[in-house]
Amino acid sequence: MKILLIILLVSLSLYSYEYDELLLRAQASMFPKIILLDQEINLKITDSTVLLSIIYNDNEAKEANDFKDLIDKEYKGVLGSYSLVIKTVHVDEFSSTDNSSAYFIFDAIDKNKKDVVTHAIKNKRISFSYSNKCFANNTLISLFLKERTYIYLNKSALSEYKIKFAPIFYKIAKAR
Amino acid sequence: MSNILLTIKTKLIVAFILVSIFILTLIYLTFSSLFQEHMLKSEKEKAILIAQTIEPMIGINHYLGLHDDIKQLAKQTTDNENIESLRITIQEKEIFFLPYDKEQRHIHVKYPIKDTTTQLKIGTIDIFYKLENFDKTFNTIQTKIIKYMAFLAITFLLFTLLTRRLLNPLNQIAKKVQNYKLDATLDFSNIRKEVETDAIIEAFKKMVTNIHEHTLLLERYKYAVDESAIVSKSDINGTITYVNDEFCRASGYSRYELLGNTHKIIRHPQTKDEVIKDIWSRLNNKQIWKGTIKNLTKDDQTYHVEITIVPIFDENGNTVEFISMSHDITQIIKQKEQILRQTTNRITNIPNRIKLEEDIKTLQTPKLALVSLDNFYIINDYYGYNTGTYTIKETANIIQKYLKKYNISMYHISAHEFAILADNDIGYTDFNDVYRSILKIIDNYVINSDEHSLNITATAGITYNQHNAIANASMALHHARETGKSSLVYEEASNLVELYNNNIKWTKRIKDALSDDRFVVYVQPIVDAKTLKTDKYECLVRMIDEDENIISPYHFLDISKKSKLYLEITKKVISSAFKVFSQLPDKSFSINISVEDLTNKTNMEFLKQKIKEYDIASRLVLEIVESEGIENFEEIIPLVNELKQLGCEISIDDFGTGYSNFAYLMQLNVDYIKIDGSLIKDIDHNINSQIISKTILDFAVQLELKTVAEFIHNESVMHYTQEMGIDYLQGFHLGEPVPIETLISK
Repeated sequence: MKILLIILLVSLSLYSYEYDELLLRAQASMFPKIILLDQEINLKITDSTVLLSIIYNDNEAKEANDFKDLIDKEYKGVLGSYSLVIKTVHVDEFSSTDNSSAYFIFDAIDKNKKDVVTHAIKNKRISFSYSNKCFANNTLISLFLKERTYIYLNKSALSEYKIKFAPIFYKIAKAR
Repeated sequence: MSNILLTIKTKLIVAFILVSIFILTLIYLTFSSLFQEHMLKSEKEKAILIAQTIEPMIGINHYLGLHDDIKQLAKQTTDNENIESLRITIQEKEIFFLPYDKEQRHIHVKYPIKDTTTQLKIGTIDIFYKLENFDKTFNTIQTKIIKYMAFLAITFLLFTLLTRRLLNPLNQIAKKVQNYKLDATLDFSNIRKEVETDAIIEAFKKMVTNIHEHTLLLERYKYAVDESAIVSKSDINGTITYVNDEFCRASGYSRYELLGNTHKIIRHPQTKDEVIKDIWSRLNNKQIWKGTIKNLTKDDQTYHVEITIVPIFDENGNTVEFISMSHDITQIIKQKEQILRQTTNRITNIPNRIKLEEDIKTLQTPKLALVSLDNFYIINDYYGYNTGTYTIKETANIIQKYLKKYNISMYHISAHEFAILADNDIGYTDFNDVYRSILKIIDNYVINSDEHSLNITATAGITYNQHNAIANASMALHHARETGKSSLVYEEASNLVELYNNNIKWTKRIKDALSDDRFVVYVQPIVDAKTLKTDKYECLVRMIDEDENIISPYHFLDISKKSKLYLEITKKVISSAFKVFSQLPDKSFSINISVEDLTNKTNMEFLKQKIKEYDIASRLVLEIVESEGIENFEEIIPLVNELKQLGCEISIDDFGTGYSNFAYLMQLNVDYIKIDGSLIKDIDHNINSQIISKTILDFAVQLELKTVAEFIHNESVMHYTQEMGIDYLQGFHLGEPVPIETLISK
C-alpha cells in the first residue's frame, strides 16, 4: 500500500498540483463512506440518491473536476444501497436552497465558502474540507495522511452541526 | 438381613464421619464446580469483551478501507498478555493471524465482524485466550478450600472425640443396668459426674425402687391369687409349666405329675371336643376365654371350676404362654342341681309350684294363668297311669312349643295343672291372647298314645296381682270350671270377690261356732250289704248356726281349711265320736281324716292320745278324704302305718274320682275303699259308672280290700251294688245322718 502511495505521489508531483493528489484520492475514497455514517442520512437524500457537492472557486475548478472524477471512478455512482451523484458547484453559484447531502470544500476560504458552511450547519449537512485548516471556518471533517490515515473531526463545530454519527465513527475519528 | 446392634456412641461417630465426608466432599465439589464454571465463564466473557471491543473498530476500518489500521489494532490487541493468539478474517480473507502454541491451555472465542452500515456478517475474530491466569487463580482457591476442609475434618474429629467422651458415662450406665438383677444393688459411684448422667442415674435409682415396690406388690398378688384360686400356666403348646398348691389339691395330682403334662390329664370325659376347640380358637386369636368346665381328679372324682384363661404376650404381641385361674364351684353346682331338682317337676322337667311361688315374688305385676286339664282323672282311670303321664308330657310340650316365641315362663304345678307367668314386657291383651290360644291349642290337640286317641280340654284361671296370686288364680280356675267357662280372670269376676266376702263371713261364723261349741257330730249307718245289718257308722260333722239351723259341711269345710279352723273341727269330731262310741262297744265307727290332719303333728298327737285314752282303735276306721290330692305319699305312708299299728283300720274315701296313684294306694295298706258317690248314684243305669265301679271292685278284691258304696239313695241302686258284691252300703235309702247322741238314747 505504501509503495503504491509513493508511486502515486511521485507521478502527481510531475503535474505540480497545489493539492496533494494522494490525499485527494484517499479523501475521494473515504468521504462518501463517512456520509453514510450519518445516522439521519435518510432525511438528507432525495430519490435514494446521495448528492455530494464539491464547492470550488475560480482557482479550484480543475481540482474540483478531478476530485469528482476520482470519486466517480471509485464508486461508479453507487454508495452502499444508494446512488451517488457528485456535482461541482462554483461558490458564486451556490444557492441558498441547495439540497445536497454533503459538501466538500477546498481549503481556500472566502466569504462565499463561509456561506456554504453556514448553509451546511443550518441544514445539518456534513461539510468536508481538504485540510483541517478550514476547521477555523467551521467545516466538520477532514482527512490527513501521515504514517497512517487520520480522519479529523472538528470538535468545536460538532455541536453546531447537530449531526449524529454512528458511534464507532467517534472512535476512529481524531478530534481537533 | 441381620440386625447389627450398634451403640449410640458408635452410631454418632459413624454418623459424624459420614456427615463430615459428605459435607466436605460437597463443599469441595461445589466450590470447585462453581469456581471453575464461573471463572471459565468469566475468562470467556473477558475474551468476548475484547472481541466486542475491537469488532466495531475492525468493521469501520474495513468499511473505510483502513486495513493497516485493522492490523495495527490486531497487534495492539495481541499485546494483551492474556491473548495467546488472534485471527481476523474478513470476507474469507485472513487479514491478521498470530500463530499460537497449541499445547498452551486457552479458550477459543469466535466473534463475528459485521458491516458498519448493513450489520451483515462480513468476517470473524478468533481470539485464543490464555487460561494461565485462570489456572493460577483456580489452584490458589483449590488450595484454600483443601485447607479449610482439613480444618473442618480436624474439627469433626475433635467433635467425635468429645462426643465419645461425653457419651462414655451413658455406656457405663447402660452396662450396669443391663447386668442388673432384682436382688442386686445398682452402684453408679465410679461413673463420671455430669449433670445429665446424674439425672439419668437418679431416674434409674427411682425406677429400681419402683420395680422393687411393684415386684413386691406382684409377689403379694401372686400369693393372694395362689391362695384363693386354682392357678396354672402353660406354654403355647398347652404343656403345663406351673401349677399352684390349690391346683394340686383340687386335681389330686402332684406338681411333679402335672408339670410337663397337658390339661388333658384332668379333662372330664363329658367335656365336649367343641368346648376344647372353642378355648383354643379364642386363645389363638389372642382373646380371653371364660367359662365353666367339668374336670376329673386323679381318683376320678368330678369337680367343676369357673375358669378364666388369659394369653400372655411378649413385647411384639406374640403369645408366649397362657395363665388359667379358676375357682372350684363344685359345691355351688351341686346346690344348683339340688335346687333344680326341688323346683322341677319330675315328670315334665318343668319348674314346679315352688319355683312359681319364688318367681311370682320377684315380679311386681305378674300375669298368672293356671291351666288345668279338665277331667284328667278320667284318663288316668280309664286308660291308666302311663297314658295319663303321656298326656301330661304331651300337653306340656305343646304349651312349651307355643310359648317359645314369648317371654313367658311355664310351670307344672300339680298333676294336671300348669301355670304360665309373664311380667311387664307382655301386655294384658297379649297375655289374654296367649292363654286363650293355649286353651285352644289344647282343645284342638289330639293325643295319640299307644292305643288311644284322646281329646282333652282345659280351663284357665287368671290373675294380675302378686298378692295371693296362685290362690286367686286357682279360685278363678275353680269358679270358671264350676260355672262352665273356659277361663276366668280373678280381677274381672265380681262374684269371686263376693265369694271372698262370703268366705270371710263364713270364717267368722265357724269361729263363733267353735267358740260356742256349736259343731256337732252326726252319724250315718254303714250297712252290711249281705245282711243289711248296721254295725258301723260314719261320723259326720255339722254346724249349728245362730238360728239353730243345721249346716252341712259342704258350706264350711273348704272355708275352714283355708282359715285353718279345720283342724279344730276335726278335734271336736274326734272328741265327740270317741266319747259316744266308747259307750257303744259293739259298734264300729269311721271318722274322716284329711291329709291336713295327718300331717299336722298336734292333731296326730291328739288322735293317738284319744285312741289310747279310750282304747277304741279296734273299732275305729279312719277315712282318708281327698286322698287324690296327696302329693307326698312318702310323708303320709309312715303316718298311716303308725295309726294302723295302734289298731285302726284305714279307708279311702270317694275312691274313683280322680284317683291316680294306685301304686301309692297299695303302699298305704288300706282296709276299705269307699267308692265315690258320683259313681254309685246312677250305677243302676249308667254303664260308665258300672264299668268304673266294677274295675274298682276287682282292684279291691285282688288287694283283699273291703268296699263301701255310698250314695245308696234307692232300692235299685242298693240291689245293684249288692249284686256287684260290694261289702258295705251307705246312703239315705239305708239311713240318714242323725245326731250321734241318738245312738246312746237308743
